[in-house]
Amino acid sequence: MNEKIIHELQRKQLEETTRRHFLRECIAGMGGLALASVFGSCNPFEKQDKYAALFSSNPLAPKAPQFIPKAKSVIYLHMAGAPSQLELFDYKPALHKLDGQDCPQSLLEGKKFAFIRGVPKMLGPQASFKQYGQSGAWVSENLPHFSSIVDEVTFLKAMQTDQFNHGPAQLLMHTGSARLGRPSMGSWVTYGLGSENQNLPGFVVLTSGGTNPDAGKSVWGSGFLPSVYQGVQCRSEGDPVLFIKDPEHVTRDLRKASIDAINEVNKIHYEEKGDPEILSRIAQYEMAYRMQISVPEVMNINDEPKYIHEMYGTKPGEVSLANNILLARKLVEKGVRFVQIFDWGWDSHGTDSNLAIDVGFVNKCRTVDKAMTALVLDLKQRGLLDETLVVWGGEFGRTPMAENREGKKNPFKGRDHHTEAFTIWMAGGGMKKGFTYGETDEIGYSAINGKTTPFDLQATILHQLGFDHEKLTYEFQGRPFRLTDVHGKVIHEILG
Amino acid sequence: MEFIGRLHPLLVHLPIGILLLVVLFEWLPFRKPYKSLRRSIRFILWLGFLAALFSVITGLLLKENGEYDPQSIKLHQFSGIALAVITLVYAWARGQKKLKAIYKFLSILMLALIIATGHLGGTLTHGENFLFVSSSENSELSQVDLQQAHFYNDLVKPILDSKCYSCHGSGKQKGKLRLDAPEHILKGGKGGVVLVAGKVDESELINRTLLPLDDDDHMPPKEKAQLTPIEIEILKLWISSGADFDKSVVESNQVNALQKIIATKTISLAEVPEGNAGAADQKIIQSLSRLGAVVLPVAAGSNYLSVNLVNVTEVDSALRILVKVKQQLVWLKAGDLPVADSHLNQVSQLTQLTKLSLERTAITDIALTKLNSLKQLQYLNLNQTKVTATGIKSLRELKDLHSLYIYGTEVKATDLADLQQVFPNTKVEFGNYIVPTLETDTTILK
Repeated sequence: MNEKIIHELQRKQLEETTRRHFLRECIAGMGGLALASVFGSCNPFEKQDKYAALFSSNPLAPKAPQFIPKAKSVIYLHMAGAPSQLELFDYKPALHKLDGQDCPQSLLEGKKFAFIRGVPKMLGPQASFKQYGQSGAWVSENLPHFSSIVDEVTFLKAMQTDQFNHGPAQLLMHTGSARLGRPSMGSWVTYGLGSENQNLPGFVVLTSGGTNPDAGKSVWGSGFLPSVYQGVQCRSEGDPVLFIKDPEHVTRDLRKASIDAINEVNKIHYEEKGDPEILSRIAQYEMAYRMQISVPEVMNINDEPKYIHEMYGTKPGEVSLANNILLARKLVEKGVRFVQIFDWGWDSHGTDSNLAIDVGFVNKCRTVDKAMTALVLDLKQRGLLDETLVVWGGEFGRTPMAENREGKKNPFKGRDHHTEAFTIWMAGGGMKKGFTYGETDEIGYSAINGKTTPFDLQATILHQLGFDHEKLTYEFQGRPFRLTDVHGKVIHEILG
Repeated sequence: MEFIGRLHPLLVHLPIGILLLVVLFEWLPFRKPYKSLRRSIRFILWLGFLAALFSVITGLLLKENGEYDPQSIKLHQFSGIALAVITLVYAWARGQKKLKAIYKFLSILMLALIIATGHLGGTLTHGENFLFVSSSENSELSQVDLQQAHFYNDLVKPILDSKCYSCHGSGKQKGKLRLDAPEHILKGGKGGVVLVAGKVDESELINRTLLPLDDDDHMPPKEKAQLTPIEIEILKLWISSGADFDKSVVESNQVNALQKIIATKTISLAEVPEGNAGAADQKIIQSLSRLGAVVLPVAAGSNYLSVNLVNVTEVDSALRILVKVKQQLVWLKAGDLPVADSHLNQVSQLTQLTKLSLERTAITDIALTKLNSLKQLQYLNLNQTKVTATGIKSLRELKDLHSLYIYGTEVKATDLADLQQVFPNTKVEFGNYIVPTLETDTTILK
């Protein structure tokens, strides 16, 4: 009974303390307490107690999974806006022949599209394709680098979703629900596994492309899980985490002394009250202090050797997808569980040249091709690919028809949002190598074989990390919740 | 009539439940106010007898359907009828005051018959291996030596055994189909031939497994264990290569094709030994945690430990303490640390290790000579250390090593062919991949 109340309390407080909150508080309290340390009233308590406290009360303490995992970390590359599968992986020669013809009624009856109205024209593949590797996977000319590593990769070619707008579809992909309020995949993973490296967050988010994803920060939010589990958004330019630098004239020693002083006070408080939440607070101060050093260090790509920069196509100092991909490798190497990368700008409607399937889309491909190829190869040579699952994809697919916004022809070639078929690829983390699962019809309109859903993908990712998606649950509003709600089936066919 | 017969598997649970209640009431030492319950025994017994009687009748009707092997049914039938008879005698004896000793005995006899009949019936429905064999998939597949293996006996039969025999075997022949011997397979079932040698598309044996799970004709039925993709591929290959019952894999010329199917299993995290070790001393785990080491069971409930020294500053002490959990320690990450050759004296004692990461440490060839004691080692990461090809060769005793990482070491590209000869079964990862810079990488289309 007592324990229940304590748990309740602990949860309550975690819910109220967001990362920002926590970091701000940390700095605000600094001045006064720093003064205290100047007068020499602080006495850092012994190491032994410090770690005991850390591991008994810290919600981010590392935990063992339910069964022996195949993967320890996940790097999820989300191309926000949804890249066209028909210009990258899903080669449909039959669609060429239909190019420019009216879309048959049978494909339109009873269907709803985001922008297509009336009868659109079919649009043939806007890239040439070739088969690569021993597996003979089809890849378009838009990804010249990626085509060299198809034998490391598993394709899911018959992904389906039921949301045709970006926000809901992204939420569904990452939180298992098209509506707001559910914890994201990375939060569930951190809730289940904690953070292996206590100097770093367990779940890091990196964004590029100029805008946050349409669904906002909820795609890495913690929903009803305690907010310590939300994704920590790091920036690849300037301070990696806002408010993490020491104020001017505060030296590292002074900072240490002040944290120790605060914790000494907290410790006295704990001895009086016996509230475990105070221990949790002590642990968080400690972690924030350690993160001040370790985060900027791991987030710095300047020290990477030249050949690594050449491999990824990275340029230190700018905000780019390539830089974020290299950072993801560094973070995983240091024990971060879940790195979520969002890159905005893949929404190729054909309304302007940046969103044209044969112009802007090609440019977007060029920003990711070299870096993602380098990521897979770099993880491989570092012995990390076996235990790191790389996932690449968007939130839905694109239509085999050209978009005709408001019933009129769009100025550039583009495709509308499409829920019935899209492609995702995965590498490492116990996936089969050089394998394709799922198939679409001959014009790529609909999945016909080996259909998979975002829930199946989520179940599979959790499975590789050592969790039964039906058993990783959290009590909320009187019932246990899980990432996949009542859906999801592990895609055993693609597991090695 | 057939329908009533099919009620048997449902009805049989009634006598089991009712009669167990009788045994319970007969033997429980009741006190007040429950003592009066004993008076209900006779009534319950009569109910139980009726239930048993109906079970026997439906059972006999079900037998007429002919899906079950008469031989295997015999014993179940006999013990079922015996149970009904004994229940009747017992119910009668329970009414006679003088026969107290006898009906206590009868209750025991009845219990024994319930268990026997129930078990025999269960075996008929769920197959012989249902109770005791765990459904570990393909566990033996990787151990099959394809050069020696017999295609049907060693590869096909085990699949049919684990996934089909329970309904199409000696005990039961759903759809009049038996798959437990070549002659039965060739004979087919109610729907005709199931196997057409050389023609996968025409073989119902495969087609049924490929139907959507919700299709009524899908096999095995939705609620039973399904064939894995690898199993389906093996069956397909067997049929397309002629569905021969006598040839070996070599004789059918399918070694390579099979290897390809089986090898789609990728090597990932080094496996953990079978079984479980004794639990590690919590005090030792705590002292490691105090040094900043992350010590975790490999999975909840396992005593095997995985240790990551990522934030440890006192490497000396940590390694010395680690030796005390050497029985449990299977995965060790000690990369990016000032681990030197001298530390390997401790590491070399961690004989249960299957996975060891020593990347970016200060070790040299001297360290490698000490690793030969780690006989279980499957994964070894030496990336970006000063080791050379000569040093690495001294690891040749590690027979289970399947992944060896030597990217960024002193090993030269020219040493590779030589190393691969020394480690024929190991994936030697030399790295140094180059992703060339293409002109198009930086051109921007307008």
